[in-house]
Amino acid sequence: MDGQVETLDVDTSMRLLTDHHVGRLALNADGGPVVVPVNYVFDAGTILFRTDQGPKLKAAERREDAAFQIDHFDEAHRVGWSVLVRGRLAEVVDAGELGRLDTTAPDPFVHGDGKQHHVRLLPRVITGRRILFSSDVPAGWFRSAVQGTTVFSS
Amino acid sequence: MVRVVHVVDDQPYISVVNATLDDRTIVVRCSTGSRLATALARPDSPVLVEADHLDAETRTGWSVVVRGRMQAVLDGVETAHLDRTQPPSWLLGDTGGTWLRLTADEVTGRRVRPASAS
Repeated sequence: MDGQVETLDVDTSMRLLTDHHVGRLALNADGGPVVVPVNYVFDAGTILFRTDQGPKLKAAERREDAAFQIDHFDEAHRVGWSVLVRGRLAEVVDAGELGRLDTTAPDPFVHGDGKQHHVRLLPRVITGRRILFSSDVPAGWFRSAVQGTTVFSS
Repeated sequence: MVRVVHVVDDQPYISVVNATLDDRTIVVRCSTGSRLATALARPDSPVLVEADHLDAETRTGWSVVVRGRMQAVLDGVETAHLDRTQPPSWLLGDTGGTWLRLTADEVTGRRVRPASAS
């Protein structure tokens, strides 16, 4: 039997965004798309993260469009979900807000000297879906598929 | 399970797909005629395939990004080979769908670990 995709309502999608803290941010940079892992919190209905000088900050200064995604797949129970947020980036510049964020914003996933800038992704669209695997898929094969990636180092 | 990043009208999108390896290329099976299949197979459109494992507790993990262009696999012998040799898609099962193949221009990987351990 084929698998199924169910749409998650926006409340469920936002609860998943609240409960998780690691996702992926995709930008359409000058040299083409880029995607990077980020540590975030879902704060005031936005994806909030820290960054330093680089493509993310540049995109925020230009208030460019970006996409942010989280997902989780449970091989044993053959289900998974993903949430996609599409919107516009904006750097936080308000002094009062920055003061509050210095104590509440997440540490960046990659520690460094910088990461002093706070950036929000202001959602335009939040979509979520739940995936029920096809019955043709043997439990656990995704793990073996990941292990199979050693073919790249051969 | 990987994510594909593509751009439509300057807007980036991230989608989760089943991807597997066929002779050092990445192949993806999409629903035929789906928006994703159409968008990914546009010849002028760069695509990223991303795989990662990130542990928020330990702040460790890795991510790999493959940059390239995708093409629909149209040759019957090739699609039969992929149908026969690739594991089932989580969505489409054993058969059906359109095969897309990524020709990689660049592969980058990084390991993430706490600053104190680096």
